[in-house]
Amino acid sequence: MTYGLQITNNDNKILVDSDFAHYHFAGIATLTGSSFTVPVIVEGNNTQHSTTAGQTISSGQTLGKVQRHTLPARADSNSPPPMCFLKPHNNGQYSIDGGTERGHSESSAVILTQRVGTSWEMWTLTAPGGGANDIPRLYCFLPLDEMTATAAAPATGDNYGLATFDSSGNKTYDSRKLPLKITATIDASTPPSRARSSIGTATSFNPVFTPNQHNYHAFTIPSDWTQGAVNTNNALSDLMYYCPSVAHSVQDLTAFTDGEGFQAQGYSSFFYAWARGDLWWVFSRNTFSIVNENTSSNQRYVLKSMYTGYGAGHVWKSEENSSSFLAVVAAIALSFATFGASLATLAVAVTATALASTFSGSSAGEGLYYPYEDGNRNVSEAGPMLLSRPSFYD
Amino acid sequence: MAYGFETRDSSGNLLYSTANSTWTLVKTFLAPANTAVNNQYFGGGGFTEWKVTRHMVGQTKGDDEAYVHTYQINFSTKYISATVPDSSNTVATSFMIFGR
Repeated sequence: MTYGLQITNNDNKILVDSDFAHYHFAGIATLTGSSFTVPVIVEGNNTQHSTTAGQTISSGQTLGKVQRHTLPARADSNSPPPMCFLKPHNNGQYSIDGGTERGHSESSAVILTQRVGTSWEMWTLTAPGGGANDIPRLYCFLPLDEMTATAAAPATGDNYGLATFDSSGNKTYDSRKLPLKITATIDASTPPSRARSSIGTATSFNPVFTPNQHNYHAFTIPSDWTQGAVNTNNALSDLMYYCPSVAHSVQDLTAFTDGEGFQAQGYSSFFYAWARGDLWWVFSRNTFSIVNENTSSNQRYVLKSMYTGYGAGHVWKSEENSSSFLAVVAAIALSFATFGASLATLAVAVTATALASTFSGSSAGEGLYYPYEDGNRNVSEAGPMLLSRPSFYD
Repeated sequence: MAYGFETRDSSGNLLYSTANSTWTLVKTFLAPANTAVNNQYFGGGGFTEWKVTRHMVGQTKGDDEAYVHTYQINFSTKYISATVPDSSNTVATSFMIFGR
């Protein structure tokens, strides 16, 4: 380098480089509102033709809780998003004993990061099972010139430390503003390719999707976790992780039924035929947690990677015709065949009025939450989990 | 410490130490939606281990397929290129490269 500052260690590896905009602690994101779940869409044009009472998605279908967090910043369209380390509520401590998970299963991840004006808004998704207050905290990091002027400014009178600047005079490192420290990494992979462990049969018309398949990844205990802390679970009380959710999955189930009947109305009596198509789905996102596995054969920590339900729905369409049985079957089969193949078709089945009604008063954005047919995306794109400690920044 | 780098505040409290920071961020870049980004140099002289993280920006609320950018990386020449797995459904992706 021809100017500036570069600090290297005894292996000539760079530790601080004034040319690079280092990430510093920008604050804990502010929780906006309460946790919510994405409303389940239940919509159809006729309720008369079902083989059983199941005209809705099962009440046993559970979705994760969504939380919105806001971080003031100086963001524009070219700004990098903040690195948000997630600290689980209640330290995320739970354990596996004899193959059974005990305690709160607080698997969480940042599922959405979007710019709102000059601020950043992050959504976290937390698996169901924990209490209403199981809300993670986000410790956020940005380059100094992306923070608000207030956040980037050192405390009044704090004139002690080291700062570097790039060739344009922008501050790139300031020891007073708590530079990001990564203590360890864990390789992560996404859950099994199909997030499917239990689905009711089509004949019940009452399916329950349980997208709870998961991977456990054992990892080497980071060097800053003392053995005593590991034995007492305390290692997790000072742990936060960065592992944005990229993998997602849709499970769906379709059913097609038909029949015929006779309507007695004196001289106006008639035979009729009916047919009905149903579509159920759950859209899931990848979430993570650190688990203390304590079995007869294993006493270790594992990274749990799983799917958590995000959106769900059940739509149906039925047709009745008193003149042509084949015509009605053909009509419903045609519409049914395109369910899921085209968002436009599904949008027709779920009217704008019904959609607006479903999402009225919800913090979730209006939508179908059915982005593609049964399958998944980004399954082979798992990133590493980066670890740090909230006590560095509290 | 025998070697490395520490910073402390005016009270002597440790703020940063290479002893407990094992990875150094050497490169960030943003790959726009549905757009490939070629040959981003990430430097990081002396590092022998690398981690690459990706972060979807602005997605996914629920109605998009939301593919994340894939990438090709050459640790010898230290160039990374972001590629688009789907020409119309790939979301903006923030890349971060860490070395040690």
